[in-house]
Amino acid sequence: MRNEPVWLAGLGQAIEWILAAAGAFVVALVFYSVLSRFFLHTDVAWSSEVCTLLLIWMTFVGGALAARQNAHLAVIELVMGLSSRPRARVDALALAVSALTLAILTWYGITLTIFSWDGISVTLSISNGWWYLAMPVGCALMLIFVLAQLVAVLRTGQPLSAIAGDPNQ
Amino acid sequence: MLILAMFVAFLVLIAFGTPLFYALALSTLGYALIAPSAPPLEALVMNFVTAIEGFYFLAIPLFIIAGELISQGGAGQRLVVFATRLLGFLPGGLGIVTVSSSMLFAGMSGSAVADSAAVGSVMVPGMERKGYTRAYSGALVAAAGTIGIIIPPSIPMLLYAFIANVSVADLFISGIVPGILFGIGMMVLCWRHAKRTGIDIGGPKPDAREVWRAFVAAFPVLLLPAIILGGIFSGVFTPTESAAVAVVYSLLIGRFHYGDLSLPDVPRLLVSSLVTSATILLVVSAASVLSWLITFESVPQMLLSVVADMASGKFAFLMLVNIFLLILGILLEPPPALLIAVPLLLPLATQYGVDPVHLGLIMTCNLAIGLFTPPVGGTLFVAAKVARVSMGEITRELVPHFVMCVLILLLVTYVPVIPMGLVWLTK
Repeated sequence: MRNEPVWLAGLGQAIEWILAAAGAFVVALVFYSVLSRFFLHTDVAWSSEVCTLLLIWMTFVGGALAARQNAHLAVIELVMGLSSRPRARVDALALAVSALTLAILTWYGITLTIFSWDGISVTLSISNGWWYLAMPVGCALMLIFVLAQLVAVLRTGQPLSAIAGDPNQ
Repeated sequence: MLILAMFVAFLVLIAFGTPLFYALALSTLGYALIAPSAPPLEALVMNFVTAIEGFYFLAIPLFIIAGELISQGGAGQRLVVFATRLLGFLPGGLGIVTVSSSMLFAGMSGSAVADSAAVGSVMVPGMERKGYTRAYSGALVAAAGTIGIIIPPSIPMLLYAFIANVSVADLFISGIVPGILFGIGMMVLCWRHAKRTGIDIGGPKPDAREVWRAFVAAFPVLLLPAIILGGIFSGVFTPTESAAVAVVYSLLIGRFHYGDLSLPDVPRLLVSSLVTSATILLVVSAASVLSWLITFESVPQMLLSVVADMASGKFAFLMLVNIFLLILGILLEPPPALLIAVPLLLPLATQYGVDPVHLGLIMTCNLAIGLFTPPVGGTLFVAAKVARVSMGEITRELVPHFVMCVLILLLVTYVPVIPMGLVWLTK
């Protein structure tokens, strides 16, 4: 985002590193479990639970980076033709709707995590809540980036694509 | 009635540019809050996580990473050189090379957009030097790239197999013959273009030693489809495992064999692939909540009674399916289009006696055509960017490809043995 506050840029950077590390780890883990099955003839029992756990976290946390880069899948053809002023207004509306959705998802995600905390997973023996926690955390992070973009659009009067870029185009 | 209002709300939300993930989530959550018959909200919210919990979904980010590594690791260039040495002497040779490189690339990447970016960036400048217009080259790159999701591996096919609960291997196998047909159709168009315009009328027969040398250079890349598909078809690997093997393999050849890939680039590449995968999987998550809801409210049954009035048999039903999907594919990218259409169409197809694997293939072909059909489309955007042409210029050149692809689509729809023959043979 243009003129992104330092703390927000730092947050984005931190998420990027965590995501890259998680991705590298998952690739290594799946590859290792294939090798282990072929050469050691043993299955890495905990691998599939770790993989699904990381997949869910990478998806929701990756969604936060997607929000930062304005990369979420959207149909922009109908608003593409608008000139800068009205486009900024429409963008502000879409961002406000997105923020509302994310607030709801974060709220119910927390409830769900608390509700499921007592369940214990089969092979890792950790709380089932760790799987559900990815959703409120990811949605809260998305909410931060979306709110920052909403503020920037309202303050500058420029469309979101001018502020955060537009990979959809 | 309320469920109809939910659909309208969803359409209004996406019309002013709200990302699909939020629009799907808000309309379903809103419905669950208001409708008296809806399931409890907690159960609905749980679906956002459980929808993407399967180990097999990991195949999606892994195949995206592998595709990025291959196209950044210099593999695309080797494939193009090999195809040029082998087929470049034909009339319309460079066009034919563009199509055949896209087909080879399709065998290792699951994304049409990655295909057209990798092939287009190499081929468009070369075609321009031979005298092709940029609009013609761009149109060809856009159309040929879509073969990437028809020839396996294919990310939309993976998604369909997971949602519709059919075998990934069967669906992948069903894509082989149609993918080759689409390719041959496009090559014939290139041949005709050369004969008619006199551009790139062909050259001397290739020297066998040069072909061999190009083949040796491309061999490590050409081995990759054998590893991926061989592993899946023989049951040695699950799709997820084969994707991880593909990532490690393409990293190794890109870094150590070709040396085009630098290790400091890898984290950036991982992040951009994972962001792409997150945008797809979040739509998967929200759309599965929608599909759960519409099944809960028996929408497919309501739809069936409407469709039954319009289509008396399998033939007419498949025609309706094709028209519906072509329109949907023109508006949406394949993953979200699939996620919205599968829960509606699959129960109907079962009623009309259509094989779910065949339906998946028909959907993939339709959505592939949508990828290069203006005004929206992944390969269309990439090709226009690579060839530096406007949407209007490229559209005119796309018309023959569109007509040819729709003809092949009809063939694949109404002669089930074309896509399904290989699947039946393996049974």
